[in-house]
Amino acid sequence: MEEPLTEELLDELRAAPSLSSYIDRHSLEGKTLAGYLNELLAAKGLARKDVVKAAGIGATFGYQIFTGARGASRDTLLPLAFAMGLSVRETNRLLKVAGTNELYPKVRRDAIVLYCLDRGATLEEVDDALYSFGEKTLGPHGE
Amino acid sequence: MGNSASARIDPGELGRELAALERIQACTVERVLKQGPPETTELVREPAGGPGAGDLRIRKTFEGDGGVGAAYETLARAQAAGAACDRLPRVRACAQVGETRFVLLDYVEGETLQALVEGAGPLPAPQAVDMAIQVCLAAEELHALPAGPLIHRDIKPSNVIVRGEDVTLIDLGIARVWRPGAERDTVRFGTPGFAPPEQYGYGQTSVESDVYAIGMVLAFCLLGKVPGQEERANGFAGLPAGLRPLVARAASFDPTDRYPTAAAFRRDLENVFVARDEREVGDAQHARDFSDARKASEPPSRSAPAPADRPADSSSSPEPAPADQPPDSFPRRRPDSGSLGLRGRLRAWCARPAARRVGRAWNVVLLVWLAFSLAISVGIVVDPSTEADRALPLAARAVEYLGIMGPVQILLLLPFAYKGSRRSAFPLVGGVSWPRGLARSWGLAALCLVATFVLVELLAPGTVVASG
Repeated sequence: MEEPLTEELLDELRAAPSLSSYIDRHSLEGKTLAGYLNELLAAKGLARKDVVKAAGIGATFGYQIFTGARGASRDTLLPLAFAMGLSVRETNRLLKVAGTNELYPKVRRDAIVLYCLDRGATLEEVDDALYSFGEKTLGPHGE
Repeated sequence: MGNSASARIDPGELGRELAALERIQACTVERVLKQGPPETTELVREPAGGPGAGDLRIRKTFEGDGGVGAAYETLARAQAAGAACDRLPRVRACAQVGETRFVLLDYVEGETLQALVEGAGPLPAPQAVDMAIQVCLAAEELHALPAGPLIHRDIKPSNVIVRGEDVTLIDLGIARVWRPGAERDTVRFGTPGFAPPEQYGYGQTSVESDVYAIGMVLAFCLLGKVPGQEERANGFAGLPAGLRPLVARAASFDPTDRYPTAAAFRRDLENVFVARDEREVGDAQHARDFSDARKASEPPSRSAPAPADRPADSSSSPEPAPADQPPDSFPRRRPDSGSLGLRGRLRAWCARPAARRVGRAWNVVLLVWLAFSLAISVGIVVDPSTEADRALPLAARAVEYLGIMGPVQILLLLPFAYKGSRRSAFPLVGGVSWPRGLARSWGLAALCLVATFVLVELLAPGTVVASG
């Protein structure tokens, strides 16, 4: 990968609405999904078991995601995000690290999810909202 | 369980947000005007079948966690509540999703002040002052919003749209609500040349920050270029003497040395004209051609004179400048008033302080008349003087007299009230042209009259029908 020029970085830094969004864009390289998930757990003082349960994910599947044995789809990660109480930025970072699409405000379903994330909703609340607006709910997800 | 959902997620609000989002997204892009991040601005068209079908709009998309673009939401709420925003773009819809904010605005047709000056060169002083007055009025609207003063923070010629006599101040992307007690802003933005020092991090931006920028816009109009350090250093010597102290005060380094409000700056700008016009009457001999004044105000054409060479503040010195002095003083008449047309001249006249006083006095006359006629009506209702009136029951008398002298009369008089610069604060007639307002309000008056008669007839059958 080509190293960006200082000027380009500087331009971008100038154009970035905030420092954190700039750091965001450049600090994800080399991160793994499992690594980031465990980082988030530690930062929020949560236990993996509780989070997996709250997200409605099977214990074994959840365990595998957190150890890096398996990847996870977008619709598995989003319940995890709500179970961990992630912010919009953390959620988008999580999706990016996992190699899936970030939440896209122009997509109706994503917009509802973003709205709920913004307001610190629970998984149940976001599913209620999705259901009442005729969009596919997030959970439950076994496997 | 179900109750907890309503605590954080309000389905009604979410529904409105989604509807706004849908409307904003349904527009088709005509042209991209500015490509972010953090801000993308597009010229779009509303789709057929929806609200405002086929109309051109401006769509802005702001990315980022800061309050970038939040001012539009503040403005939208104020506009919905009926605040006076004649010189600001109308917000049609806005939605915030995650870290993205979408705003749909009316497209303001016209030319930017920047293009106007770049195309035609420095503006004649009266026209430049008119522009500055209009920008002040726009800033006053922002500073008077019910949510607290909204500081534009990016007032510059390219954000002032001119169309005929209408001036609109656009681009509230980095505007923010002024908060008492805050030391300094968290995010710094602005345009070099027009942004005041505090916007570079010396303090919190405030109403005075916009005053600074308006001062610089006025200097730009008069000089035809962005005023630089040298203009500041020589006390804006290139400007007409009458305006120099005003610009210097507005653009003081220390915010406390500036005009405390945009309105204070505007009043001085208006008075400079009045003072000149009065002087013109007594000293017609000194009337000079406008182009002379303009030539003289171009700094490169002659060396910058030391400020001591001429009266420091000619606006406060009553005697006119000697005839042999270079005519860097203010032109004595408004040469463009002839080309403005009747409406423009009327409007320019209405903006004067004297006209405002007359207008307010007129409104007082109207109100006194209204109070007087209502008092008389109450008297008749309570103690009828004619036989016909006495025959009516009290309720019918009350409806007849108070209805006609109250709502009907108010609606008849409304178009004739003086509205000054707060047109849109007036219900019914504020948002439309005068003839239209007249039609609306007189139409409603007719309806009220009919309703009054119907009520009277119901309360006392035979009264209206019998008397015709």
